[in-house]
Amino acid sequence: MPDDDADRFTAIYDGCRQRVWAYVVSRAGRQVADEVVSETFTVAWRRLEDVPEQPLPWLLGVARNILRDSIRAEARRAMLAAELGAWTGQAEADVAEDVSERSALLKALATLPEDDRDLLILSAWQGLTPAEAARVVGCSPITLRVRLHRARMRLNQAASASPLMQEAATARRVSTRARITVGKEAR
Amino acid sequence: MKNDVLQRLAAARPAHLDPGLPTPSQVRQEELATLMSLPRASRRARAATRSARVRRPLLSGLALATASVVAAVVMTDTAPERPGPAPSATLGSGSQVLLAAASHVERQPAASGKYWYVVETLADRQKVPGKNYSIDIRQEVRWWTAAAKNRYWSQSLDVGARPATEADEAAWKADGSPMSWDMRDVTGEIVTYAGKGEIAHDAPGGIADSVPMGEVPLRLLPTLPTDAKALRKRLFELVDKHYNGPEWTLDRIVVEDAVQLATTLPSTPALRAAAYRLLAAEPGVRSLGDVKDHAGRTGYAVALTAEYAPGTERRLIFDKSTGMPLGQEMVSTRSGDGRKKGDLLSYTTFTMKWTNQAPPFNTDYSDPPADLRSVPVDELDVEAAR
Repeated sequence: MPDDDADRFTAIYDGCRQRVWAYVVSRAGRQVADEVVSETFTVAWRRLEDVPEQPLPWLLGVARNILRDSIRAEARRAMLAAELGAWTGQAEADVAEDVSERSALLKALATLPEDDRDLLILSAWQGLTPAEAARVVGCSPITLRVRLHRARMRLNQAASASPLMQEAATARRVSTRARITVGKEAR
Repeated sequence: MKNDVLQRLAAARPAHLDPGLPTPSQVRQEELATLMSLPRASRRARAATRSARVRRPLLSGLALATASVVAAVVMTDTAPERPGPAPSATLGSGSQVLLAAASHVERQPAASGKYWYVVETLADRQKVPGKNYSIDIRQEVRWWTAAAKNRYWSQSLDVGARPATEADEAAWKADGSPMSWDMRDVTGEIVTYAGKGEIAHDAPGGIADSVPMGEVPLRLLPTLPTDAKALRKRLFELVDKHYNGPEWTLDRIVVEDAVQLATTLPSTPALRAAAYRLLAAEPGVRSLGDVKDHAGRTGYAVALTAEYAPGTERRLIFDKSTGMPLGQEMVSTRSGDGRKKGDLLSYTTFTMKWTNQAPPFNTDYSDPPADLRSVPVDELDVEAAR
């Protein structure tokens, strides 16, 4: 039934469109986001029968392929750099106490290899489980967990290379130790 | 958990990238109308429609699938299906080694049990800050897969760090053989020689079959062909069915699947052999000759282009006496980003078998409180080391 298809597609669109947009922006900036998103949903409409029950990982996978294939890595980097300038500017304009931490993390994120950044964005910003993220990038969940572990280590490394970040990290360790001690006593 | 770098990163997400935001209503209206006015191609018509869309050939899933099957046939036609005493001279040394390993591994007896048990030792090689040597930071992950129940459980252990090479060991001894290293500026951890034993385990476990792409669903393992050509075709169909992308992406997933079938999945000897033969047909496979793996076991190795990490090569190591996989290494193929060409970046060793022995923890219930359970391994290490 065409009407059923329209309903299903609309539901998929409403549930996922902004998520796909946010993912594409975090990979390659705003400039290309609308076009890539529109192309992604064109694929979904054409291949509606192939879209799985949980459409998000599938859609993100399609968007990821479109990005990889239609925009050169150099161009993705340049567009992301421009985007990042806007993010850190925004983070620094906020009157939050963790401003330095935020902008240092965003800067560290930008220095990582693209594959690492991809996994971190899928996990931390899209909130995907390792199994879902594995579905997006097309690897096994085992592989994904290991790769995510490494990406996290590299992010830690890149983030703590900045002096501001080291201060923030020291403060955090102290407070975490206090909390874990409390947790142990409670048990 | 605030201290986890992933959680910190999540908190640093720019507000406009919140995936929970609604689509602006005007964008929604226009975009939906435009999209749903596009023609919907039937499965059969798809190939023709897609190949006509020159601007984005990446989306022509079916057309590419067809092309790739043809390519795969052409490619594997030059390779003998069964390794003969004199493999074709057109084959590279790596292919010959893989074909020989295939004929070796398929003679291994088939086994069975309640759990497919895999132990992986994962090591990351890192320079120690302020010292003239590197260490391998090692983690052991144990996986129990209950194929019948479609579940898996894992346990991870800190098994301690070691000086990386003999030269590194000498430098470490000259440094007074310290038993711990402050790697907080590198990995966020203080690592020790002894290690801390179990760090975490998964309970109540995960669904072993939850990923339809990139990993062959467990339940399909018995249905997979044990002929390399047919296996490649079948894997491509599986990948194409669940995935949409340019041929090279699909192809990479097929190769990744084959590596999984060749290494840690509970493949039968015949299926494992087919996966080896599939990999033997990959372009540019090189033989690296006899090697010792990182557990000191004797084997031989081949190098494949790494599918997911540009500038990196994947080396697979096989057991000399059984042809079974012993491990893999990731090696840099170019300089930059603080690495030199030829540098070992990380390695994994495998041991695997069928067993009836259950995981050594409650598989239905996890005892640490939920908030602690979610703390990633490396962050807990820092605390534990204090």
